[in-house]
Amino acid sequence: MTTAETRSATTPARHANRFVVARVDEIPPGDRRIVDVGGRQVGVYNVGGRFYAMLNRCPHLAGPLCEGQVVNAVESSVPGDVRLEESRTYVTCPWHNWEFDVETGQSYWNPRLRARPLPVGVEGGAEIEAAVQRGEIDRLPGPYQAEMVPVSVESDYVVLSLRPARGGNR
Amino acid sequence: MTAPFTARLKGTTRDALWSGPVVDCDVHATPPSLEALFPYTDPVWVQGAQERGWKGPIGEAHAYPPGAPTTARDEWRPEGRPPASSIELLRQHVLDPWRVDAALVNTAYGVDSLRHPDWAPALARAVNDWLIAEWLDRDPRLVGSMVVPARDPAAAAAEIERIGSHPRIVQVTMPVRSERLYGQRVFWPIYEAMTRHDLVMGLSWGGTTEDAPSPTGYASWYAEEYAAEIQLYGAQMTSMIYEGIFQKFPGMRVTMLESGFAWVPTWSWSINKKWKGLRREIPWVDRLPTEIIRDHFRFSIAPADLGPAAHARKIIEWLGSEDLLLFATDYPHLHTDDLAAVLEVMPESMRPKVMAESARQWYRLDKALS
Ligand code: FES
Repeated sequence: MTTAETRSATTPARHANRFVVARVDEIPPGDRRIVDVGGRQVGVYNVGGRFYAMLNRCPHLAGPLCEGQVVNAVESSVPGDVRLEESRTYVTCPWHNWEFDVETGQSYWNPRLRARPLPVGVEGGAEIEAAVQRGEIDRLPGPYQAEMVPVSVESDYVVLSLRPARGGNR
Repeated sequence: MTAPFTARLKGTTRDALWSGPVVDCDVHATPPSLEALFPYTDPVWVQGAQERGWKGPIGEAHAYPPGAPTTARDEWRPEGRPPASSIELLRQHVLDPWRVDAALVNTAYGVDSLRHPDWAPALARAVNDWLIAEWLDRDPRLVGSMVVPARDPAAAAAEIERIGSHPRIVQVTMPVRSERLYGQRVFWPIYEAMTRHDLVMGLSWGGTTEDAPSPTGYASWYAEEYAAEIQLYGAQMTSMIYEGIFQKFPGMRVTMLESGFAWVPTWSWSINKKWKGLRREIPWVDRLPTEIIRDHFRFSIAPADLGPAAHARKIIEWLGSEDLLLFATDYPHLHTDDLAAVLEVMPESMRPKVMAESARQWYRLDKALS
């Protein structure tokens, strides 16, 4: 049982645990945005056109994980052999610089330790519009809310789910 | 208070201290003079020394000045010759009273203080041949640590090639003082040769006087220098781990001789922590430094430098492994450790490992002495 499930089950105002966090063009590749979802901070990343999200809370000592740098893995088997592995992307925590896989949340010095990844994906404007109307999906409060409806039919949206999951969107 | 010092058995007996087998992984053998090496030295260097009036390297004499109390226990100072300079003395002082199963003879002879590219290797050859002929061949309990011209990796590797497969040579001595840190790639030829012959690297106290006794330079006093040198072990260990020689040479094993070990837990916590945050820079270091230390390092227990028993017990616990420590007398040097007290703070299951088993495995002694 996770906090997210508890909250959605006991807060009738929240019909869904899915949220529209931004228009796709607001988080271009290489960028990230930290959003507040029901009181919890979540970092949403665009890595090469794919979206990933993780809780902005480091599993080490609760540092603001998502404020750290986004880097690729560096691989090596012996000294002198150093390769950038661009297929793997890490978020490094600003407090102690530990690396966490943006996709799985796994720590790379200690594979047993994980940051909390959350499912996030891109959905079409028309479906989102309909889902919002039906109350199945929430918008984040703030300036973004007002802007959303008029442009919704032309844009795709980044939709975050607080349902706990392993791995990012496929 | 009982005071049975590390190897002196005054006031106690060997059996009262420890009734099981004993392997002493650090006893010294000192060439009594340069002339004693002449039968093993290429004549061109015999004449070279005579022409120049060269009396031998300072090396160890600097780390242990002949008259300093740390150099030898009083009862181990023979008349008219240097301490630890004959096999008869070694038998009388260590091998017989301790009834050792095996003792590892280290001959730190300051070979590294010669910069001469031909003479230094020739001196190393002389010392090694002398060690084999006058010590190893004369007592079936002895195994040896060979010396190399450590500042010249190619020549050092060649000497390992020449003598490293001798069945009783189990280790290569490297002085802890060096111009460069030993993790650096310039030393790889030495490690390549060492691991090919399945030899241990014995990181030993001392080294040339030109290389500083502390990581930031020269001390003013002998006492200060003696106390400062301990830091070099940590610097060398960190270099070897971070530079990745244990990934490059997975068979590499290092014994820290005369380094103490009370500092190891805190030092290794620190390098663990730095690695966790900065490992991207040294991505070949694929696991925690403490795990690498457990797999690739051992520490002789002379000196122990442990402090009060309650603290000592914690330090042993903090090592996190019963396999890291190896018994040694460090004959003839003077350490004022009470071996009974050192054994006392170890869990009972650890004592047989420290006294013999770990060294037996680490140095493959069953093979060397068969
Ligand atoms: S709090 Fe994130 S690495 Fe320590």
